[in-house]
Amino acid sequence: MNDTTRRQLDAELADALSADDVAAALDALARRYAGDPDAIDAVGETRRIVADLAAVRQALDAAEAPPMGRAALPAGIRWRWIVHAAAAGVAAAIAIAVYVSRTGAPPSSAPVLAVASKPAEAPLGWRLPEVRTLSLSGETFRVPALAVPVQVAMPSAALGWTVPTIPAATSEQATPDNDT
Amino acid sequence: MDRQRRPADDLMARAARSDREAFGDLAELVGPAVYRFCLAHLHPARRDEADDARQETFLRAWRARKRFRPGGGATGWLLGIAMNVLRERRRRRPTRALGGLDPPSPARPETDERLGALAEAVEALPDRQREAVACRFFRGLSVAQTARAMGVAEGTVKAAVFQAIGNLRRLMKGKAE
Repeated sequence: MNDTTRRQLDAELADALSADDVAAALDALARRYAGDPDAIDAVGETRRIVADLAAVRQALDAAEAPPMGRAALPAGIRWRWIVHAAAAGVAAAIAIAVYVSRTGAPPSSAPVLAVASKPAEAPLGWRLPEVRTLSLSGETFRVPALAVPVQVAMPSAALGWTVPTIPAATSEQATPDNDT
Repeated sequence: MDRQRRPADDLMARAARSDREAFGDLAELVGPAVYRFCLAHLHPARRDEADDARQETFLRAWRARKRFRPGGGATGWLLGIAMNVLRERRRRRPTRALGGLDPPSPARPETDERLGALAEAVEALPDRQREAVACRFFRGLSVAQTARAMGVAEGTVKAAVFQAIGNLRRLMKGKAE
């Protein structure tokens, strides 16, 4: 059997297996391919399988279906719902009881953080800078010790700040516009 | 199944409006078909579970009754639910060992042996192919009904059946040799 014939046969077998009456469709196929031994083998095997499957179906059909308990079906559903609801209620009650016994409070009053238990003076985490003495024009000042981080270290001349000198204020300097 | 269709659809439409009496009538009418559907899809060693699977199917159907659309076909809708129940059962309790189909009758030992081997081969098929074979050949459903029960397209059913029969031919030939 060449490939074209095989593909044709496969397509026809697929159609026959999709028919409403599979056995009759396979019989018709067997008649069509009666002269082709390869095709008739394939069709014959398929017919045997289908016949055996039909025999299995007969065995299954012979099985007696037990009665459904017609009147009990909806009632059974209702009872099941009631049992489930009761079980859920008991479980919820147990969960609430366990919660209350552990916390000492009903669930509605949520525990509040007691502020009084906080340390009165919490460490602030900072400290005063070190102070060093600076002498300038005979005067002595106490100024914070400045430190330049190593990473941004630069020549001291480039720091760009000087300790200000504050000259004594005179009355002329204080009111310069009054002369005019 | 077609003869049941109209009354079953009417009963299910009433059951969808929470009519318990109608649902009871529906269970009585379609119950045997659903039972045999479950029987066909269960593993041969687990066929005693068919009644449980049917009960579970109807319980789920009752819970899902509001989702039933009139005109959609009650039996097909129920078989779709049954298929889900059966798939879950298979997933929960996969079975490796195989029991016999039925006790072999002394009058036809060869036939029973062959049918037992065939049932074993069907169990060895991939799930989709096995479901398609069970619907089409163990229950005699049409391609459209099979597609609805399996929740797939009709083309998928046709392809699955063709592949399944090819695989069964190979498996049975292997057993015979």
